[in-house]
Amino acid sequence: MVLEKERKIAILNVFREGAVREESFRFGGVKFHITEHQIGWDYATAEALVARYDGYVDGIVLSGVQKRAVVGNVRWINPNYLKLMRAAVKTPVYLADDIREFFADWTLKRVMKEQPRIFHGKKVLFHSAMISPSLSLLAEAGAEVQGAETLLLTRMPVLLRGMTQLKAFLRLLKSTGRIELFGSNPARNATKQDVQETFATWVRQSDVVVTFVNLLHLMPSFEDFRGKIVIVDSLTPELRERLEEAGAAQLIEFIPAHPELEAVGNKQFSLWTALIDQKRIAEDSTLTFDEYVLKWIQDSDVKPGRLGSSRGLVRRCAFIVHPLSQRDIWKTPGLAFMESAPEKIRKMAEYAAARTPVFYYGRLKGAVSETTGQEVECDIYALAATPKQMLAMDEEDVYEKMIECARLAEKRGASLIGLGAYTKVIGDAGVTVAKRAPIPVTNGNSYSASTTLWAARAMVEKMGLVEMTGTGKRIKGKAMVIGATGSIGRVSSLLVSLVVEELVLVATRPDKLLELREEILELSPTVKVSVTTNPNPDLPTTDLVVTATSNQGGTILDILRVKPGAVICDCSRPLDITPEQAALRPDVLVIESGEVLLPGQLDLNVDIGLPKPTVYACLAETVLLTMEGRFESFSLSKQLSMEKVKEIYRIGVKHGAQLSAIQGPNGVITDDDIMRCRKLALQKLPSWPVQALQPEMQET
Amino acid sequence: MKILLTGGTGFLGKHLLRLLVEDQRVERVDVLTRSKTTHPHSKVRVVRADLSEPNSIHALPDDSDCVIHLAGLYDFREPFFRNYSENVLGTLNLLSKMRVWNQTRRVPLLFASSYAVQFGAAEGNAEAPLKQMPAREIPYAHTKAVAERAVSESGVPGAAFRLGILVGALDGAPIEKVDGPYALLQAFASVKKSGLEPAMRYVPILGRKDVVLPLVPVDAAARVFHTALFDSDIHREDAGFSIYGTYDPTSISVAEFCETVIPKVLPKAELAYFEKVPKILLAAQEKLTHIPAEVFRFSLEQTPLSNQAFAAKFPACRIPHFSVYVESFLSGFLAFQEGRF
Repeated sequence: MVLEKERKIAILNVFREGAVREESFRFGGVKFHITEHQIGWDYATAEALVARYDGYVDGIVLSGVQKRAVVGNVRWINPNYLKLMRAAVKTPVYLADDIREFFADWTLKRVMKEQPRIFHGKKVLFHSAMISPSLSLLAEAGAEVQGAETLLLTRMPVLLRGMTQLKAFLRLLKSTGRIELFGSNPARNATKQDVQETFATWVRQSDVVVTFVNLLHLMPSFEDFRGKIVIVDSLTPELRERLEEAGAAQLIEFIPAHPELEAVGNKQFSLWTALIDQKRIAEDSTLTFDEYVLKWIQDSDVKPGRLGSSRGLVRRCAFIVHPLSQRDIWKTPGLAFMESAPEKIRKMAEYAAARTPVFYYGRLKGAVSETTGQEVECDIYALAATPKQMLAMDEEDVYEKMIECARLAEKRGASLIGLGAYTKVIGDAGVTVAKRAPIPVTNGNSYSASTTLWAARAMVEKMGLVEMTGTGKRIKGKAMVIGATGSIGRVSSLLVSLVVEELVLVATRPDKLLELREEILELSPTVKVSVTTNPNPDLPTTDLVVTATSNQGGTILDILRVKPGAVICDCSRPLDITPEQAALRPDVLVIESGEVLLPGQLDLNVDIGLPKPTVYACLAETVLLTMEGRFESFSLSKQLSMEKVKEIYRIGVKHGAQLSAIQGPNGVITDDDIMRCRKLALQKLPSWPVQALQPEMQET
Repeated sequence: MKILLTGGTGFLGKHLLRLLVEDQRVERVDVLTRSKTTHPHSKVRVVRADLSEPNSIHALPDDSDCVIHLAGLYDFREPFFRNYSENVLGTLNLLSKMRVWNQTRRVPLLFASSYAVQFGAAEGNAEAPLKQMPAREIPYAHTKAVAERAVSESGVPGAAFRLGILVGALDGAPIEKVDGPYALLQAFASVKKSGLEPAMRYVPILGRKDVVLPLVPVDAAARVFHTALFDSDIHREDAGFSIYGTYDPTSISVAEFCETVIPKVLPKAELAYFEKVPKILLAAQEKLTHIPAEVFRFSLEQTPLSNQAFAAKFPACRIPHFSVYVESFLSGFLAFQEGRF
C-alpha cells in the first residue's frame, strides 16, 4: 500500500487571537491538514513561528498580513511582511494579496457590467483603504472613497476623505516605517467599543462598505449595514446569514464559488493561494503559479466572486410618475382638506405643486424573472404637475425636472429610468432628457404599443363575437387602423395584420398608404388589405378598430357607425375617443392600454392609479429591460420601431410578464363591463347594419 | 501499563515520576526530555525530543497506553513566543500523534492545565470547556488556555486538570525555584536583609483581601495524576474528555495568607491592601522587586473555583487546606534559601 501524502499547512493569523484550529480536507484530489494559529497582532511570535515551521510543513500561510499598501502612486511595502518572508528559507510562505487583487478586479468589473452606475457618486467607506484591492477601481468608478485606517491604527476618530488624504496618511506611515502608530495594535483596536461605535456611525453615513472578513468577525452588530452594499474578500456562511438578516442591500464577495472550496472551513484567499500552489507542486506541474491559476480557473469553470444575497444581485431602475388630475394631488397625505377648497385656491395649489422639486415617491420591489431569477427593484419618483400644468409649463422646465429625477435615481443606484404618463408626451418624448441625464432613459412606448395590441386581441377574444381561425391564431374578421401611416399606426398595422383576415388602412396620404399596404402584404401575404382615406364606410363591418392619430381634439370617426360588439383600441395620446363619445355606445368596447403584471412576489408601496400590483406597460418596460440587463435608451421619441416592439414583447414573455389589466375611458375594464357590453351588442346585432347607416344618410 | 510522560524533569514531573516507578502496575515510563539526562531506574526510558518541534513526534514510542502531558512553560519573564512555543506548539504536536494512535486503540491523555486559564472569563465555566480566553498580556494563562482548548476539542479522550498554584511538597522538602507566593516571601526577605525593615511600617500588598489563592502542594498534585492514571473511567471506551478543578476552593484567601506568612518574615509590619493598582505602579514594582506584574493577576482577580466534579471523582486525592501544611510551606522555602548560600 502506498501511503498518500498529507500536505501540512500552518496558518498564522495575526488578526484574530486565542485559538488554534485544525482541519483536514481534500482539495483538488490532494489531502491537506491545516493548523491555524490565531496569535493576535504579534509579529515577533509570527516570525518565530515561521522559523519554527520552516522546513517542517509544506506551506506557511500568513493571514491578515498585507504585502503592501497602495494609494494612487504612493506605495509602501510592509516591513513586517519582509521580515516574515525572510524567516523562512525552505518552506513557501503564502499571502492573500496577489490572488485577492485579481479576484477583486474580476468581481467588481462584473458587478459594474451589470450595474454600470453602482458606485458612481456613492460614499464608499473602507475599513482600511490602503490595503484594499478595490480602492483604485472604485475611485476610478466615480466613488467618493473614505478610509477608516486612522481609526484602526490610532483609535482617533478621523475619517480620511478622498485619495489626497489617504495618500498623505500613507506617506506619514511610510516616514515612520511602522504600521502601528504610537504602539497601537490595529487588531486589538478593532475590538474596542469606541472604535466600533465610530465605525458604525460612519457606516450609517455611507452607501458602500468595503471590509475584510477578519475585521467583520470582530464587529459586534451589523445593524448599521441595513441598505448598504457590503464588499468583502470572503464570508463565512454565518457572517453571510447575519448580514442578510441585518438587511444589507447587496453582498459582494471576492472569493469565487467553487465546489472544492465548499469543503474548506477557512475560506481565505491566503489559504486558497496555498492550496492551489500545493496542488501544483503535488502534480509536479511545470507551470508557474500564475499560469497554473489561470489553467485551474479555466479547467474548473470558476466564476468570479459570489454576488448578492442568496437570490443574486438586485438590479435597480427608476420611473417617473405624476398626478393625472388635481384629485391625485389631494391624495397626498395632509392635503385631503384641499378637495373642498374653493376652485381658485385649488388652482393656485395645482400651479404651485407643479413648481415644487421632484421627490422620491415609493418603490416596486420583488420583481423576479421566471427564467433567470434576476431580481429588479424600481424606485418611483414623482413630479407634482398635472398634465394641464405640464402642457402649460415651459418644455425646458419640465425636462429639467425629469433630469433631476434621473440624477436622484442614479445616486440611489438605478441604471435606467423610465418616463411615465405625460412626461413622455411633453416635447420630444425623452430625446432631450436622455441626452442630458446621467443614466439611459426609456419612454416605454414600445411595450405600451405591444401590450395595447396584445390587449386589443385579448378583448376581441373575450367578447367572443368573432370566430377564430382553426389554429386560433387569427380573428376571422376585419380590422381597421386609423392613422396607419404614422409611427404607432404603422407598427400597429403590421402587428394587427398578423392576427386578422382583413385589414383596412386609413390615413390622409394615399401614397404612404399604398407603400404601407405593400409592406404589410410582404409580412402577411394571406391578409386582404385595403386602403382608404375615410374610415366611416367600413366601420359598420369592422370588428377591431385601432386609432393612432396625432389628431388634436377633432372627431376622427363616427362612433355611431361602429359595429356593435366591436373593440376600439385607442393608441393616440391625447385620446381620439373621448369618454363622452364612448358613453354614446355602451355596446362598443373602447380600450386605451394594456397594463402588466410583472413576475415575482411584487411589493408596490405606493398608489400609481392601478389595482396593485399591476403596473403601467411603460414601467414594465423599464423593469424588464433592467431584468434583461439592457441598460440603454430603448424607446425614445414618438417614433416606434417594429423590431423594438417585438423585442420588448419577447423579453416580457421570457421573464414571465403577463397582461393583467386593460384600461378603458373609465379606468380598468372588468369582466362585468365586458359582459354588459357583450349583452348590449348581442341585442343590437340582429338589426345591424341598417340602423347604423341611418345617421349618415340623414346628414347628407 | 506503559506511560509516556512529558515534563518529567519538572517540579511536578519529578514527584509524579517517583510515584510511577514505585507502582507495580507500571511497566515502563518513557520520559520525554530536551536535556541529556539519564534515570537510574530500569523502568524509566529517556526519550530525547523537543516537543515544540514538529518533527519531534517521530521520536515518540508507539506503544504507550497513556500519555501524561505536564510539559509547559511557567515563567512570567519569558516573551509570548516562548510561552506559545512550549505550551501550545508542544501540545499540538503531541495531539497530532495521539489522534493517529486513537484511530486504532484507546490512548487517553492526562493534561496539566492551570486554573489561570479562566482569567478574565465570565463566571460559571469552572470545570467546563473555555468560552473566553485570558488576555494575551498574561502569556502563560493565554497560551495554557489555547492549549487546553486544543486538547479538549481534539477528540482525544482523557482529562485536563486545572491545577491551582503549585507550592512545595507536604513533607517540607526544599522547593526548586522562587515563584508565585514564594516570590512575595523572597521580596520581604530581601527587605529584611537590606536593613530597611525598621523604616517599613506598612507593607503594601497588591491584592484583594478576599481573593482565594488556591495553593496546591506539589506532591498532592502528583497523587492526583497517579490516581487518574488507573481510574477505570479514563480507560472506558465511551468516555470522552473531562476537566477537573484541581485545588481546594477554600484555600486560602489573600488576607489569611498574608497574615499567616508575612509576620514570620517581617514581624512588626502592618499590611496595607491595594485592590486597584494602576498599570504604571505595577510596572514600577516590577522594576523594584523583579516580580513580574502579571503575577498579581492571581491576587487581584478571582476566578470561579467551584470543583464538585473533582471532589466527587477523586475523593481520596483531596487537596489539603493551607493551614494543614503552613509549616512545611515555610520550611521548604527556608531550606531552599539556605541551600543557595
